[in-house]
Amino acid sequence: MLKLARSLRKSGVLGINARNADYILRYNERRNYPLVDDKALTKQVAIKHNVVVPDLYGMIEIQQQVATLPGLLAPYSDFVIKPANGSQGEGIMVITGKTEGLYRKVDGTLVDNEELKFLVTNILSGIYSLGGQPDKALIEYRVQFDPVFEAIAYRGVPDVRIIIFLGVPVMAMVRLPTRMSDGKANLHRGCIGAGIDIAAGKTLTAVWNNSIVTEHPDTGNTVSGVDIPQWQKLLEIAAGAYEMTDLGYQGIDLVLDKERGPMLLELNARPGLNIQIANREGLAGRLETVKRHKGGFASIAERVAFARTNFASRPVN
Amino acid sequence: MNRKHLYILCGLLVLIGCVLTLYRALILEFPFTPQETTATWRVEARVTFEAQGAPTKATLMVPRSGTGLTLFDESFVSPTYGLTTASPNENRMAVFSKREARGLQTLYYRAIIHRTLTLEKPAKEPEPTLQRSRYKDAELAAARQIVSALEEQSADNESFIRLLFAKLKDPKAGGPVRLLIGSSSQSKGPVSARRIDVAVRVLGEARIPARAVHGLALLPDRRNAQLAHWIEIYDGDSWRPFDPDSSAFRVSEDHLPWWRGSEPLVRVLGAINVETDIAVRRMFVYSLQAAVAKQRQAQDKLVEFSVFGLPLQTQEVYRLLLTVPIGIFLLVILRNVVGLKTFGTFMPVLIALAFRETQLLWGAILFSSVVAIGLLVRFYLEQLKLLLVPRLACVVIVVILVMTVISIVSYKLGFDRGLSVALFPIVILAMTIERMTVVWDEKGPKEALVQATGSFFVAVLCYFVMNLPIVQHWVFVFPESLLIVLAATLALGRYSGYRLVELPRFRVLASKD
Repeated sequence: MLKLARSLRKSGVLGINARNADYILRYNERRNYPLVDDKALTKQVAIKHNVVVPDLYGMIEIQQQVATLPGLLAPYSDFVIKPANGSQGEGIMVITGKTEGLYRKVDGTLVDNEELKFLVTNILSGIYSLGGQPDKALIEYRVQFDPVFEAIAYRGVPDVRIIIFLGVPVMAMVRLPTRMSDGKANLHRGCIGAGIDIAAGKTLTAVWNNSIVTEHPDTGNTVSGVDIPQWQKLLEIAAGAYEMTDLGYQGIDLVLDKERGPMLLELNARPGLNIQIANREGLAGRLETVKRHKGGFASIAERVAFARTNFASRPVN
Repeated sequence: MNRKHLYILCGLLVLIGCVLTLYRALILEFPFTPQETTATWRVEARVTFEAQGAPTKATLMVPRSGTGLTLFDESFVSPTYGLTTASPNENRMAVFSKREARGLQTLYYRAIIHRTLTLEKPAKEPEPTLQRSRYKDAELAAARQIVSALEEQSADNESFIRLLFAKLKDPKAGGPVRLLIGSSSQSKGPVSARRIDVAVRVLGEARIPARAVHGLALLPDRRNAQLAHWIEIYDGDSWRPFDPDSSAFRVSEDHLPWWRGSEPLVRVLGAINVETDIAVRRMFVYSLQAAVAKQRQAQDKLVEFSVFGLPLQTQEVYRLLLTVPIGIFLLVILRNVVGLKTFGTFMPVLIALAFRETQLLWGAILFSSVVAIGLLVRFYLEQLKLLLVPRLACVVIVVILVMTVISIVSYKLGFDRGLSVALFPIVILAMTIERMTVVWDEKGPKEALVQATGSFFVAVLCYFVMNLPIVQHWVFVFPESLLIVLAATLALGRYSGYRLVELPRFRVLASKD
């Protein structure tokens, strides 16, 4: 046990306690949390910083408004309903189309207005929000993902997670939905996480349910070595999130839309640690590299350049 | 950043905790380990009888607070019976009455009895009026015969009594003794009770004021405690006990006087098959007489302003409350160092507290049945698409109803433990059920069961640690030692090492060399 712990420490693996004590508590100020926890606020801030986000179709804040939901949804054939303060992808429903008054979910099953209203009611009562606080429900644009991921994603939006520390991108991965993850991009629900070489913008090996895989379990296509389009742009948006929220340590979730390019999906003040497994590398070393860098950075471009020169992935086996 | 600050704070807390603990232990001589001499008992008398469909009246003798004895948390459980208590003489009795009762009836009397040793001399007691024997004819003659024989052989009242009991206990005793014991009004009782009855009457004939005392031998955990009998004689100043078994003018300290006189423990009118059963359970209250006596000597403020300065009932509460920090500390370790997942941050500690009262096995059975039934209800409610707060409220109501039913059913089946289900923190159980269904829906039954098992496991572990006699003793006698626990918890607040469960999770990342 102790030997394993020492060996993990040697390879710079960041544990939950260290993440919380040495990074989140130290570099993230509580007063900035609402900016990332409330996705409606995140959208506003992002727009102010000229970052593209999925359009907000509507927001339901009180129970009385739930009755207006069908009317609100009428103009749109596809959309996403999500809690403004949700965590870990809970309470999100993706609707891809409509047929005869019913809505089609990503997995092809149909739901009716009542079911959507119940979901919204649950969201409002705070069942999915952090700490059970009353919440708001957002209805927004459903991202049409870039065909580059078509072969390696199963029904759902693959997103790119980039961790930035003091504005410098330190680690990245792409999360690929699988049949098991119900089209959702969350590692603990069974989606694939593939590490990304920050320098090259190419996927590395992938991890699925804590084991290393090379192919997508549903499509059978290889998931490593895929070029991420517009990588530089993605890194710049991620690095710019530091100015948006002032959080030292955060995870930025981005998507690539077929038509509108990179979009900011959400921010996370307590990003998960599985990204280390996806990259087969510990975070601690890279975080130390950023800490050791003296003199500061003049611009976002400089921070991205720093990341691309310093955080090239080691060749894996 | 603030590490130095934290370490200094922790160090200070440990220092203060150690100094105060050592002061209390070494200077005030509070014991380091739990002592065997405890003085608090939970007594329960159960009376069962078959009522005959007529007016029923049951008179039960109950102890009364007085010299050397304090009663608290007294309760009479007598569904549908009218209850009055009265103390017409030196006794106190509870009268349960009902206009019409039929079938098997059960009445309970429960109390917590705290024995206090008084070192002061008892106050002068009023002289009793001498009761003559009320013997007639042959019995009166037999009694007088014994008295005159003993008066010749004895020098004083003390030797008279010793000789009398020697005679009464002698299996080869002559006719008068056998006559009196055979005709005693207590003929149904054990022979020791009959001897006492005869002795009191004979002493009455000899003009020595005496009375019978019936009491309880306070021995650890007796389901069916036996009554002990002895007598008291008035020596012109106060009542002095005489124990016929040891032939000594003192009774053992563990004998609790329950009632005095010739009346039986229970008398029931309008019923047959009367049975009584007295249970005694020792409660681990540390009376710490030595230390408290020391307090009086030293007039020490530190002792005066300690838990021992509180009323006994409040002390009971704090004995429970003070173990909570230990449970919480354990929880911090299990969550942040081991990495176990539990429902609700401190829920397992509260469940562990409930286990203390229900005992582990029963606690486990009750806990899982309440949660299981609550889950079923919650899944059913899911279909009705209710709003969160009313839904939670429904779960709470159902949980309370389930607990009531469990209590009633188990009580009817004769399992006393089922009654203690009410000690579970209901609202917390309801929240647990709600959280569990959300996890069940969102992450699947496996994850929900993993977390439920984790919570239960942590609760059991907390229960064991919080129930260790040494732990209970330490936190109660040396509450200052909790400062050390606080320091350790503070230090854990900056623990940034791996959690145990992270080791296998990140195993693939371990460096190869």
